[in-house]
Amino acid sequence: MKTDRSFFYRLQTATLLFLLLAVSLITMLRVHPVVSLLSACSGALSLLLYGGKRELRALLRFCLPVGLLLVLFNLVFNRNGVTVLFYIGDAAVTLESVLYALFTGFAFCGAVLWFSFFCAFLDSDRIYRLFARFSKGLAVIFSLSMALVPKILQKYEEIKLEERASGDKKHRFTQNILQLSALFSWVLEDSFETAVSMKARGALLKGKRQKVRQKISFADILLWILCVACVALMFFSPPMLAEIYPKFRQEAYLQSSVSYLPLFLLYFSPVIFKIWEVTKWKFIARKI
Amino acid sequence: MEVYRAKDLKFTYAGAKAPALHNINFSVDEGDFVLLYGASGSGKTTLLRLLKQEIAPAGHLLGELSYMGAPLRELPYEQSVAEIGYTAQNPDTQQVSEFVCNELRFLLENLGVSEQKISLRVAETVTFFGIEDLFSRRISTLSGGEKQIVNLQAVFVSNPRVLLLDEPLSQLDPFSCGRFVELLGRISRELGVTVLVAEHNIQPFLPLVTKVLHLENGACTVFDSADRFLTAFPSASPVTAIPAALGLSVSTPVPKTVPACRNLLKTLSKLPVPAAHAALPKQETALRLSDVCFRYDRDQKDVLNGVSLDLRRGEIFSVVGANGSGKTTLLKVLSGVCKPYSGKRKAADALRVASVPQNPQTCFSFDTVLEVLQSAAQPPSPKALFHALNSAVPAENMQPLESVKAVAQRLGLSDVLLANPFDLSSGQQQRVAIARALLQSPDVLLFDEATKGLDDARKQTLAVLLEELKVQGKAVLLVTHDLDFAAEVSDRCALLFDGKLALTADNRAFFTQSTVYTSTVARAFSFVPAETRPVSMREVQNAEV
Repeated sequence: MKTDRSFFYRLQTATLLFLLLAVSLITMLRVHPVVSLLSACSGALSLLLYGGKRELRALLRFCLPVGLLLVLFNLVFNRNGVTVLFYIGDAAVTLESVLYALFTGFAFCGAVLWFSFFCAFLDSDRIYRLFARFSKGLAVIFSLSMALVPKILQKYEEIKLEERASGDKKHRFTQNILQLSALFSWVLEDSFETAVSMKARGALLKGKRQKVRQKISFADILLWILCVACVALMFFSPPMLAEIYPKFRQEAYLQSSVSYLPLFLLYFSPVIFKIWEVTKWKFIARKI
Repeated sequence: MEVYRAKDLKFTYAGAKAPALHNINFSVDEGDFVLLYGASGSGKTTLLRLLKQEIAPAGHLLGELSYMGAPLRELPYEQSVAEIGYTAQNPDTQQVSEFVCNELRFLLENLGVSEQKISLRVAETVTFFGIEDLFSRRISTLSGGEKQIVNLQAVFVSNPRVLLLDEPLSQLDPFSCGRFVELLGRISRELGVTVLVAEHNIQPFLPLVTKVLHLENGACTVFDSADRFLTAFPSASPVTAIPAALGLSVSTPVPKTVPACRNLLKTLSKLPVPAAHAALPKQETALRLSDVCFRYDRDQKDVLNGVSLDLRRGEIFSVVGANGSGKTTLLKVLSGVCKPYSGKRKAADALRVASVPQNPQTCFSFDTVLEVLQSAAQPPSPKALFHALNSAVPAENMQPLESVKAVAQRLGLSDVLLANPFDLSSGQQQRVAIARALLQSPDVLLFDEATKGLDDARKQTLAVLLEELKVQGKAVLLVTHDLDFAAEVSDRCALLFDGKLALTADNRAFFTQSTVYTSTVARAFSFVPAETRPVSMREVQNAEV
């Protein structure tokens, strides 16, 4: 995903982190029809705009089947609700359980899409710089942890070269265990070397605060206010507090629907940034 | 002004019985370019790390070690970070950032330098090194040579007084080596930085060296100039080894570059003529690639684009090429791990293929070298594995101890069989990987940078081993940057460029046709007609004069 040239990338690291936290919290803590749908659709659209069709397709290939599994699980085991649709044997399938399952699936897809989206913007460099202002040791831990997964994947590719190309495929299980053992030993040893390199370059120097490089922009402030407002809405806004169980009431979700506006702005903020960026460049290009 | 002084230094690793370093006495003055030379496991990395407190290995240090006239242990952490830069052998393990620009800023930010000064220093460093095109790139997209240059920059950015470099050329192709050494030379000459570099491949550094510390079994002999060192050890570098092998005096003057060696050779009244050798009888093909195309992703460029290769039994075939040219990918396709999207890979029936990876740590799945080698034959059954992990006695399916010890002795690993493989030097680790491959009794051996980290003596042992494998009818493919080693051992060579084998020829034809991708011997004798030009030290030594 090409991120470093976009306006969205230029937001403060803390803003992006808070945005991720707000979006994830709201999506995962409330199985809410509007929130779940907003989350899934906006996550998909953001990934499409910034990462392209390939990126979105790759993620959907994972989260759609898993989301579907979640829906089926819910339907099979969840007997709550009062509006019975039909019976399977003695078990009643209610409208509420079907809706709950569907929105859980959407919420899951939304969470996965948003995490993948923000991973591209919150690289280990930015996380290190954010936490190094407060605690160098913590920053080193976060930085090494974030670098661990891509390193593991890359090193596993190198270890696979060790696989014998002979026809003898006996004891494949053991071979895989040994490969995993080599992989983790190697990654941990490398991480140790990296930590030594960081120490040699002053990562643990005390009393040296990191200098703030990024200026706080109007967009940062706006997004902070939006995040706080949306999190507050989650706990105080009547349509947000409506529950699917025991009976699904459409009107409960549609009252004071204007309170959904901040949520809409929050979830679609990357899309809004993209539209702003494209429009601004078109305007600038016309002047050149 | 004296930068370092060591007096009666002795160092023993924690838990070790014998000292890793003893009787170390030397001094390094400001502006010196010091070469640390010695066999693998002789203590070069240990000594280098002791010169910077933060990375000093855990152990017991006796004697005096001072920096700028004061004991090194009293040097404040901040001053050490700012004034002493260190780069390790493996460029991948040192990077802490995702982007080059952030990597260069890292040290200065830790020192609390102002934003303005950081910008200035980074701009100066990038311009000095000429890497403006790399500045905004992700480090993971850089080649090995580029990564090593970025590592050097990352420690140079604080304007250090001293640079400690541990085998910086080990993973670089000859041209990246040249670029790296040129940059280092500018740092040393123009800016007066004191440089201490530990390296096996010393030839590129010779024109810069002012002092040599020769380490042998933990003890150190100091030579006040490269000339004195080369006079005592002419075999340390090809440019002195060649005239010495032909009976020429290398003391006055001591050649330190290929042109100087060439000028000396021109004084010979009779030039050596390589002994004629019979053409190789064509052996049975073990592995064949026919017009193979491979890429890692649909949207990426082809890494291999129409490669055809015939690997025969009883042959040593070398593939050379720049960093990032696709050599490792070629090995992956040959071993069958990666499937080409076009073309064919054909292997003889029931072919056993073993590989020695570029990074030997990929095969360290056990706690001791002995266990790593014992598991080499084939992966043990789960029951045998469980038994092996819980008992000192090797179970069924594991390699017999005798054969393990024989191979270990052959490769100089007998003393380290019970050591953790991660505690060994890089050269020792490389030998463990080679031993493991040999114990698999393969028909085909694929080596990825087999000579990385190996000293000259070990390279010779490896060359003899490869010759034996060839006589046994094995097929050996070497992917290497070490053109001199390839010239010594290969029967055929190929140059991989732009996804294709640009040239495939027998050894002599390859190294006489190439003017740039050729051995030091061939370059030294470039004034001799191709038909009678020696291309390897073996030809020089066996030549008719």
